[in-house]
Amino acid sequence: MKKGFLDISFSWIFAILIGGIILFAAIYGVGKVSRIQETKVSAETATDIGGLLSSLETSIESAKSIYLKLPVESRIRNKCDSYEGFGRVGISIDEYIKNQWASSGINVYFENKYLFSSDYEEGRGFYAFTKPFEFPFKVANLIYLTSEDEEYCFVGTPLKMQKEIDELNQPNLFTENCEKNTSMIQVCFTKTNCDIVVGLTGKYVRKGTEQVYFDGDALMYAAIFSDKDIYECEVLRLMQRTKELTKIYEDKALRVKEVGCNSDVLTDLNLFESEIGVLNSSKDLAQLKLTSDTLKNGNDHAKCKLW
Amino acid sequence: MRNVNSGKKGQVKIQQMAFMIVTLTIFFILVGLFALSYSYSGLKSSKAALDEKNAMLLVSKLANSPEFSCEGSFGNEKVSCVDFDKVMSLKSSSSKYETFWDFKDIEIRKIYPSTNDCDNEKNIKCVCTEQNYPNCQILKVLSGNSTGNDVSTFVSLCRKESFHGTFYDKCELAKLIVRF
Repeated sequence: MKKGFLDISFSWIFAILIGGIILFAAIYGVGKVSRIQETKVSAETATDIGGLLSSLETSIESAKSIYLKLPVESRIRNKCDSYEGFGRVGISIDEYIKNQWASSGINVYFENKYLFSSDYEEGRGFYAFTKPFEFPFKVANLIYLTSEDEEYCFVGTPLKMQKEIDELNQPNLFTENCEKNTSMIQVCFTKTNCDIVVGLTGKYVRKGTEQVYFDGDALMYAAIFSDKDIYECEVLRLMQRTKELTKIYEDKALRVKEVGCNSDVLTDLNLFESEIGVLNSSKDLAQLKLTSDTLKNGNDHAKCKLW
Repeated sequence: MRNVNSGKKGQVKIQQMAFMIVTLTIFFILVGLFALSYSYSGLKSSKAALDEKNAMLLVSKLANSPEFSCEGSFGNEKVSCVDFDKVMSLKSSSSKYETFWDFKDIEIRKIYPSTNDCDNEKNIKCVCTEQNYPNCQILKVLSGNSTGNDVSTFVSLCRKESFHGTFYDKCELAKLIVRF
């Protein structure tokens, strides 16, 4: 009796043990595969977004808006690196699945894009628009990304800018009858007690205690829609590209001179290149502005224009 | 005698079970490998599709990017107009742009007016260098990997020329080819 009991018990224990191991391995495997699948979908979405943003960037349009709809509530994370070469921007997607945020941790990097947004934008729908940045020649198209859940109210906007925002037809940007709506982010040009204050004379954008500086409308929008860290990092990346473009224009000036057409801006280009080299933050943009204006003026009046 | 028999029976049972476990393990490993290879092949094909889609978008964007575009130097701003002087300068600083556009290979090939000698890519006289510029047919802006898929777009290739002391804009038809 005792022997039989021992025999059955051993078989059962052995079977349960092995069965348990197989079952555990199967559950673990399924979990792992589903996590890989989620990561794959996130990476694909991030690459797709990058591709969509590419379609925004053509040469001569002034400002254009597109709408991105994602399958689930998501966070589009913007990661900017300004070191090494031209720096890079990383896009990653966190998805809200089973009542929690699932982060893929995979960044899709682009060296040739300049994305301005908060650290992350949250929602299912997103708007993106682009505007060319010229300093004094065209450097890049800047991309501004906002969530459809975040609405901006522009108060006291200069007429030209108001027209431009209205022409974008972006449903989360308002220029009229929105001042009293407290759920909206108030962007003020004439008042100071707002979420975002724009100083057109001092060329600054203030959010609470943080202040950044801009030059031109493209960087002004960039400062409004992005966090300070992202903005400063992207400005440095833009200046890295401006420096390389300056070198290309210096070389072009010499080639044009060889065919006998002097462009008269070579000295200013050399000065501009050395000034860009010492830029540390957006605060230094004002110093560069002087040389940039001189260059623009010189090129506009040159016999052979470089740009 | 009974003890020996029951011991043998037990051994056979354990052997059977061991065989079963080994078979089951091999079966699950094979199923897992099959599932993994299937999902990986899907990943590769979707990456290739996304790469091609992006390349199609980027090649049209490339001609209008500040490093290539004519901007206002040949009259009004033009779309798909490449500044020959600028891309020649870009060629000399191309090492910095190696990873900038996600393309390993960027090439501009003059189509009209064409030179018959330059149909053969190996003719080194046709490839643009500082010595033969601008009388050349093929400009290799980035020359990394010569294998891969091609995507191309037609562009006008413009530069300044002088004739008897006067300057004019000379534009030729060219093809901008990228390889990814």
